Amino acid sequence: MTDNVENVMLSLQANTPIDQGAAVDRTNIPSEFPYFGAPVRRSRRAKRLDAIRAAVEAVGAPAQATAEATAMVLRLSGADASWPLHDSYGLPLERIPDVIAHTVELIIRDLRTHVTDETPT
Amino acid sequence: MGPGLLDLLLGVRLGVGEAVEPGRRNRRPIAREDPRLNLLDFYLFRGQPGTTVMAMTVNPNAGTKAPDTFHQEGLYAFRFDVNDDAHEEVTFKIRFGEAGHAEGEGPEGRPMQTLEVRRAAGSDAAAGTGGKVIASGTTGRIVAGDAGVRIFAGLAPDLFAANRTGAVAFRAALAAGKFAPDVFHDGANYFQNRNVTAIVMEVPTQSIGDPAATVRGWVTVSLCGHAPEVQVSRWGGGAPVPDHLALRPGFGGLVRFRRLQRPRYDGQRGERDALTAGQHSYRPGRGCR
Repeated sequence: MTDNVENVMLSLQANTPIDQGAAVDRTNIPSEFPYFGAPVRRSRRAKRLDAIRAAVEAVGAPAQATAEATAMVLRLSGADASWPLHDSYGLPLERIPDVIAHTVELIIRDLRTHVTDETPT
Repeated sequence: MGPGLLDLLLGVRLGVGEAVEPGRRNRRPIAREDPRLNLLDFYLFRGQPGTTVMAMTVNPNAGTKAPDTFHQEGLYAFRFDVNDDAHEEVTFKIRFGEAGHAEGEGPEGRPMQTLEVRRAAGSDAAAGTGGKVIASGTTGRIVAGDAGVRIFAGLAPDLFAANRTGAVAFRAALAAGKFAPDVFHDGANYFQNRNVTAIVMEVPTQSIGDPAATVRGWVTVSLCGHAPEVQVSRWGGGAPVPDHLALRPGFGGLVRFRRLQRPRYDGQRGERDALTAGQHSYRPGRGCR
């Protein structure tokens, strides 16, 4: 499965080695069944969610406030949050990223007030 | 190497140039319109000791521009010629149920379909949905079946790699009378970060045929809402390129391309002719013959 079929066929037909410079990511080809790795979208999404968790935790707020803020930001991070803004509430598609970003800013700003409240002076 | 062959080699998955009906991958209009029926790649290789692995992929760009499910009326089949007569003697058929979502699998819900695998031999291998059920379960997870059979069907990364930018430049250079393989060297993999839906089966090699024999395989996708079934997509068949995979005696790891020398698919010629005449629509819910 790691062979590049296009390279092989091009080379055979041209009777000269041709490397088209594209290769399959080997991490997508595990040695165990089912031999196909995790779907790209899910792995990328998992990394994005991990990054969001880390970023919210880095604010340094108490655990409960961090957990609540993390949940809300994660909820806003997916397509399932953005499409209803358009379908149900009529927001233009091009405005939705800014609206969500602004909402996230509000959540983080509120989270930072918790840090201030509990930080010894 | 003419432009037609280049289209065949590079344009099929890349969408480069004019539509070409490839020799190794034969798709009817409905298969191009419905990604769930659009057969992309076929893999055949040795698995765990004593087993053979077969895989097919459909749904280019699954989950974004294409569904991440299988066609409810699709018949996805791995077909094997085990006695060199250019016809299938053993076929593994996979069918799927209505698409739904699994519960308790996270906020997005995991797409899920029921699936059923049948092993057909003799006359059942060539047509219809008949055969012995050897595994059943749901998509998105590994399903264990009878006697060491395993199947996974679901969303998976696209394991095809090609340099789209290079391919376009290569074709342009060729059209200008130049052979320019150097245009490939700086390009990225067009298929990186894309998903397909895959059907992967691992079966005891003995369930395909005599491990001492050379076995040839190809895959098809048919619609079973029609009566009789209509094959709409096939990997394998037709000159001039190597058109199916052959496993050498012993079913070793070496996967070879080899062209069948005799006509095949005779039993489906009538369907192919009908489809060529534009009758590629189908009536759902009629059931396969």
